[in-house]
Amino acid sequence: MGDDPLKSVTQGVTLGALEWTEQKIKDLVKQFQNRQLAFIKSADNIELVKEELRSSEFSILRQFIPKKTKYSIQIQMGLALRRIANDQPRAMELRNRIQRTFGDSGLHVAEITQIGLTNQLLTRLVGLYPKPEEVTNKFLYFLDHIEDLAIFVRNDSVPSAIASVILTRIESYTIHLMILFGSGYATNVVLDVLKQIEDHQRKYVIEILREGPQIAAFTFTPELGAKISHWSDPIYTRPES
Amino acid sequence: MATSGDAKLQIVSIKDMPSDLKLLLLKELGLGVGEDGVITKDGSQVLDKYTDQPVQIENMAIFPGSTVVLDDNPLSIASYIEEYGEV
Repeated sequence: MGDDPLKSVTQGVTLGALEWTEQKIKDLVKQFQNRQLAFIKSADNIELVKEELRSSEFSILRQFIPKKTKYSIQIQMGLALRRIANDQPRAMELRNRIQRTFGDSGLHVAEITQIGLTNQLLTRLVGLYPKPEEVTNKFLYFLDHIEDLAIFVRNDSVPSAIASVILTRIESYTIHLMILFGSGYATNVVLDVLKQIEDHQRKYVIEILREGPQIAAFTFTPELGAKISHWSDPIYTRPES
Repeated sequence: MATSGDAKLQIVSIKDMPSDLKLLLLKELGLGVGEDGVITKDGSQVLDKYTDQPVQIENMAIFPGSTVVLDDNPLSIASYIEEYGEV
């Protein structure tokens, strides 16, 4: 939207430029008091929010996220972060605001949404659980425990330590699935972690998603993996080194 | 200034509104400005209800109903829409 007063705002129609006068302010206040208008700094933010609200991705996600919950806002903010990713100062400001308001866990919900993993998680839950309420419950459970169930791997992370954490948590948390994510040099660390999990006698089910410099992997217990047997196999193929 | 909107609510951008008229706007709404931002009639600082941060006059958004004064940022706007419905 920017500063162009003639560009349409949100879905509405531009009504044109008005001169700022005392009388105009008083007239606008009357309309405000009649709940006919709102005052905003500029249309940028409201337009951004409305675009996300109308997106097909959020339309699907919101079916499984109760309204007026922090997760609904965090997911919207993740989608907003994705949309403004090229405007780094604005994206950083929003990230900081999400963190101040919701803490690290809230920021992580937004971040996994930004990189498309919330969507991917929902797709897998829909495949695993036939009842929508089950999907919602599992989805919320995952988000409630995101700090433990979604691991952001760094390039200095120790693969064996992360693999050990995953093997413990995937068994102890009742959702029995975990997400790993890494970017850039951390991609190789993620692959090392997955190799160690793959070699485990329990035969965990692993699905890898790669996009550009990013890698994400869903890991499931074998019992859960059996429920998704319609997936092609082998699900995990170690890339040639 | 530009105005726009749909059948529900007209949106008025006050980005280019002169400062003195922003003060008038606040006064007409029973608000004012203190050292740290927008204040109520009794001098209390107005905090964005969703982020708990003080609202600054240069970055405020004001929605009708019970005159909800927010910081104009995506998180607060999304939270408002979530609570009150699309504007």
